[in-house]
Amino acid sequence: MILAVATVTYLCCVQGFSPAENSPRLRPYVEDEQLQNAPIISIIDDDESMRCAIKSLVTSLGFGAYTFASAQKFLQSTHLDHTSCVITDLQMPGLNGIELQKSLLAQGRHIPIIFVTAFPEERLRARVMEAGALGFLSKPFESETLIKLIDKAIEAGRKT
Amino acid sequence: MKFRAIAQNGAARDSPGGMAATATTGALDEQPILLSTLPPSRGQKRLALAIVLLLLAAFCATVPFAAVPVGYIREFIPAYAAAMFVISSITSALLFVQFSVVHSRSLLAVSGGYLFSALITIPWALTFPDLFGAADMAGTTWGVITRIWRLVFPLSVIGYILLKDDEAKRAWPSPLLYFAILLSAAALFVAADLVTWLATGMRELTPSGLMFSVINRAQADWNALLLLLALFALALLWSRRRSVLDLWLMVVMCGLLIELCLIILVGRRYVVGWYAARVYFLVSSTLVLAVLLSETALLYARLARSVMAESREREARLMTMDVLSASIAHEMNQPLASIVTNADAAARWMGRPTPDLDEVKASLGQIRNSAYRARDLIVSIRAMVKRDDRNRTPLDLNDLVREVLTLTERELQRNRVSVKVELDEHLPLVNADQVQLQQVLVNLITNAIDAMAEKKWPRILRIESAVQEPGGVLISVADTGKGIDPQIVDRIFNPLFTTKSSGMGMGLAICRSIIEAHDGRLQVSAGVEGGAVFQFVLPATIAR
Repeated sequence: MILAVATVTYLCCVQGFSPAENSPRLRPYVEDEQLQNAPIISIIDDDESMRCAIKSLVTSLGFGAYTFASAQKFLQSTHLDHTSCVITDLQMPGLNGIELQKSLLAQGRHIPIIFVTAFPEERLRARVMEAGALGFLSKPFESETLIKLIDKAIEAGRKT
Repeated sequence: MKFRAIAQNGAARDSPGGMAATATTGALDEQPILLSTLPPSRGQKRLALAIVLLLLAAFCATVPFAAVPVGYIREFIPAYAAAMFVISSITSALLFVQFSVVHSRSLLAVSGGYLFSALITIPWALTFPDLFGAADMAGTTWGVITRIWRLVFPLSVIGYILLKDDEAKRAWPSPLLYFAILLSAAALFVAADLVTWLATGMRELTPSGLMFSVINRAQADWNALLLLLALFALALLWSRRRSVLDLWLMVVMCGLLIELCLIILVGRRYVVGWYAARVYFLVSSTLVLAVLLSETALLYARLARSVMAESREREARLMTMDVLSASIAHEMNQPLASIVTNADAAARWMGRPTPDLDEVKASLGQIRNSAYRARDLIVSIRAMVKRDDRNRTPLDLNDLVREVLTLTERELQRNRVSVKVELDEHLPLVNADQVQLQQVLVNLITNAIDAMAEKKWPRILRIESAVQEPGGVLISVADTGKGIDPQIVDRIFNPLFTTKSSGMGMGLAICRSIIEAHDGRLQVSAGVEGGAVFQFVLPATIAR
């Protein structure tokens, strides 16, 4: 308990954030068997290093994470049902981010989607946000921004 | 690598487009696309044939009734003369314009023929025997004028055909050109006057009885002569037919022939044939003028379209740099994003109550890999810029400056930038890749335009070339924009550095790598009257 409080204090000092704002980040690290209970984030990016980087960031926050090299692989996977939030690249070979969003909506799945792209275009941003995307980040993005968006997604998931 | 593919794609799109554009311009220079030079299309030939056949059909239909008397229609001759005057004037103006473009004496001949036709209609109508009382029932003056008109017109067409083939292709200086047009117009005016004076004079000087008999006796000869002349002109046109103009002149000659035939056939005035003959010639002349005008308009539309296409092509070429920058930025952002995210993740793993060093290590490994990837990307950009040594040719940078100024002309005009160019005409040649240097200059000029966009006045782009001792050529591009903040002056050549709201910040970085790949250097300094001065120096090849 003391340790936990100390950790909270330390993290807040280091990161300069209040505990209330960052509650999901303070979730203790979960082992594989516990992972099932932690919210799952699915990460889709054709760029391997980007995929791993986001996965590392997400798991460091205490979330479970699955990575997919393409939108098709994600759509075919069994993790679709327990994904709380999708972080996806926009420009990908095969199915792109926009098509993924469309296909999820067509299946009636309203999973919060955060788009990250190295080619930000206002037109595309407007389009995906219109269709209900949670966020649209341009690479390189601030990790804090992504974390806040993930928190928002989890919050929204809890409410429903 | 995606961006390399795009870059090559850009280059590939560049060269054929560029070559095609030069080729078209070259062809345009050699032979302007005009009615007098363009071969007729199949549709045009068919249309001309159809008109001739229609005229023939009308002629055949008229023949049985040709001798039926109609009586004197007072308004006919003035109306006909007025119509002929207008049609001939417009046709001659159209042809004079063609002459001023093509500089061919043959066109001067035929446009002169039309102008003479226009001018002669005035005395022709005025001397018409029955118009102002029955002063001259014999119709001598009128007859003479008619014959001279019908004589001069086919002669001018024959002159056109004969001059057409032995054309000495020479460019007339424009004062001489306009002098030639004015002179021929004046000469024709005098000639028309002279003809009228002679024709009227003849009647008064010679005993009318004698004159009457001469004219009468010569009537058949005259008719034969005119008919033969028109036939000869038509045959000549046929044998040397090449252009749209030739085609339609043939139609006019057919109209003239039909008129002559009908008149010879009926042999007197105020019968169906007499009226119909005039009407057919008028109709054929009108049709030809209408066709020439519409062809001109269509030609203009076609040319305008191709010019538009060409300028789009040019703009696409200018875009290459933007596209290249965008793709480089895209490729660069990928490893950068990975580095940033991994660094943050590593910090978080470190910051845990029990730091997970394996995760930290993995993140650091990823950071290292991404950094290498970024390095490889930069190496490949440099390689791409350096690669094309084989495209280097001895270049006159003055030509390059002029060329780029034509390319950016529209952009400069749109932004109301005035351009001052001071070129040293004794510039040694530079061994360089033309397309790359073009890109550098386009980029510098575009930057200058952007820098001046926010400022009101004056917007002056100053481009200078000079010899830079020892053995260098200097090009400087100066603007009167807001200048460059001394604090950032060291960074403006860095990739991804930009002060623009829209821009990838790769332009100057690429410019510098291109110039450095040519063993030159690109620098920036503050202008004397404010603004920024970009200068690059390239080593000269051995002096010419």
